[in-house]
Amino acid sequence: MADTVANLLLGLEVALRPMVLFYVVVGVGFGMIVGVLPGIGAMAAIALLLPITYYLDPTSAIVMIAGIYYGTAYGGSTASILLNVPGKPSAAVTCLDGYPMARQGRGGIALLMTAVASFVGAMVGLVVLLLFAPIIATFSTRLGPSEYFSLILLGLIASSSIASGSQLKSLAMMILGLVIGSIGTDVGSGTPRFHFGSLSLRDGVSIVAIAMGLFALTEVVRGINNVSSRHVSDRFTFRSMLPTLDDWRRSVMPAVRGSGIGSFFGSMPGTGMDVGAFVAYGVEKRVSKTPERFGKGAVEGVVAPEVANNAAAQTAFVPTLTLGIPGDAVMALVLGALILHGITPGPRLITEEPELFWGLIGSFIIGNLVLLVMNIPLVGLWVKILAVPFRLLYPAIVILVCVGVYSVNNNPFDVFMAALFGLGGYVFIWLGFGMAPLLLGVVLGPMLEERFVRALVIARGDPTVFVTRPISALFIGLCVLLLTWIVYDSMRTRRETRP
Amino acid sequence: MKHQDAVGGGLLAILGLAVALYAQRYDMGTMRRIGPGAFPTLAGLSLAVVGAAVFLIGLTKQTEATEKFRGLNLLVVTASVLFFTLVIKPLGVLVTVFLTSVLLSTVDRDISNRERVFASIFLSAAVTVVFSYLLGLNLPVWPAFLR
Repeated sequence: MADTVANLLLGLEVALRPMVLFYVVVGVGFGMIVGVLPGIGAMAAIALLLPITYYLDPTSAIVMIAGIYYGTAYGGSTASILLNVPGKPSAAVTCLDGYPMARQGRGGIALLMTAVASFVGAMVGLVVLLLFAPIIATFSTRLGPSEYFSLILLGLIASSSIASGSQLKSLAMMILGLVIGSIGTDVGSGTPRFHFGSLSLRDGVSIVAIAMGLFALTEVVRGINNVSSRHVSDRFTFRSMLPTLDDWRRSVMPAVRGSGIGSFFGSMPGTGMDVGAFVAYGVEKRVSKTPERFGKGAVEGVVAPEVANNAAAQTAFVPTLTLGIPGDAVMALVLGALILHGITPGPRLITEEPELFWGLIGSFIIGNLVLLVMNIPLVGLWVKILAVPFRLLYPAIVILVCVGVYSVNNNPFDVFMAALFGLGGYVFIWLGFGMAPLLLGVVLGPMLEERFVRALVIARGDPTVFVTRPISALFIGLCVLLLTWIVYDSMRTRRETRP
Repeated sequence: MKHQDAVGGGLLAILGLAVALYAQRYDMGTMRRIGPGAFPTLAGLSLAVVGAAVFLIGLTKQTEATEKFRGLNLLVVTASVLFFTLVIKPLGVLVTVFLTSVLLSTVDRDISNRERVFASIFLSAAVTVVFSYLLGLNLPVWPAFLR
């Protein structure tokens, strides 16, 4: 223990060196902005700054790249709350209660609580990283493709409980997401699927286009000339931005549960912020004594996913640093950057490069503090955006969607996809279906399939492998339980509320 | 709508079946080496099953009043985005945003034509500055014939 404290102090000392500190701030600042803007994600941001890192020493480089990664976890929630525009998939969950809160005039509260929640989640994730990294690393080595398949499946099914309204309908949406996710070129065989002759579709549907169409465009369609859906605030006092004691009190347990869930999913390779945020929301809704408040501006619905996704962002470094196995595509880029600088992640990293490792840990603490300090005053700024009448705002939102989506690949087809998803999305929202599970299905579908195929290859075609391996069997068992519960629950309710 | 769940469920069930059927053109592979057609087939069939379940349960349910179907909004927004798609490459960001913004404002009943034009000019200028200059993204700013 004393060792760890000494190491932490070393790390903080490294992170506070002016050179390193500068790059921490650059990284988290850039990450935060990138998280707010739809279209440009962490991958693009890191890729943009990667060449600059060639001229830096490894510590500064890694610290900056890492800053971008967890910085985006802060920014993603801002646009979700204000405009129902998720900056990244995990932010789609924050839309569910954050946006209604903004419409009720509690946008400032939502923004402030997400900033604090993000910080809390990051700190917990950091503690988990420090205490449990070796244990998690050993545990992860026992996980094979069948376990990952079952785990991801469990995460997907668990996420079906998030939308208000029937869980069965959300389950259907999630599966639809899996189908949409399989559009594109199958990685295993190289065969293009569901491309209908279009060259653009061979790469799959742009996730940004899907997210923008389903969330932003549909909300614009619902909101124009619709007096009842817009809250017009006369004045914004400082008071109105502060959460009440009740809000704080309600947020404690969601924060605890959310950070646990986020830390768990973050430290597993293959799952990360997205699943963590969805599952945390689902769990909160299930354990709440008043689940009907969710989707209408429940503060727990905003705190839980934000705590979870930041905890996951920090613990995502566990498999990358200790095993050299990246949890997601962005982590893979981080890993690549490490190797470029001559650092080999793995069990020996901590002993061979203590300055780098602990400096990185120290930078996590400093970086998150910086983000917290940066975000709080910004809440006042964002809240002014809410005061703008919708009829002035909605063209800007649609244009932002168009240009944002287009800017990813300079391909008009992506924008066409956004229009398509806006159209279809609105019809289904009108019919009472929630869109968040669909987004998760699209994001995780390819991974689910890849693990499925790989597990069967290793098991030489034996499908029972998913239930004969104990850990996998456990996850599958939970899946079955959840499914039965979902079916039972949907047959029970005769009357339901609108999502 | 009285049985909206059923409509949604029915649509999804049909879609799921269509996907599963369409996926037959891809190689299913064997259990040892799963082919590209397997996963979509499974997903499509699962969707059909769940969709059918939603459909059946939806027939027995009464949902409360649906929100109004905002057809005109849907039409204008979708048309505007499609317009953007067609026009961005030939006309560049500045002009496209301006025109799209004007198109979008047609559904706003309370705005005057002057306001429309000014707001659109402002928006196109702001977007160009932020995306092309501040963020340094490689977007075509001017129309093709001016480049």
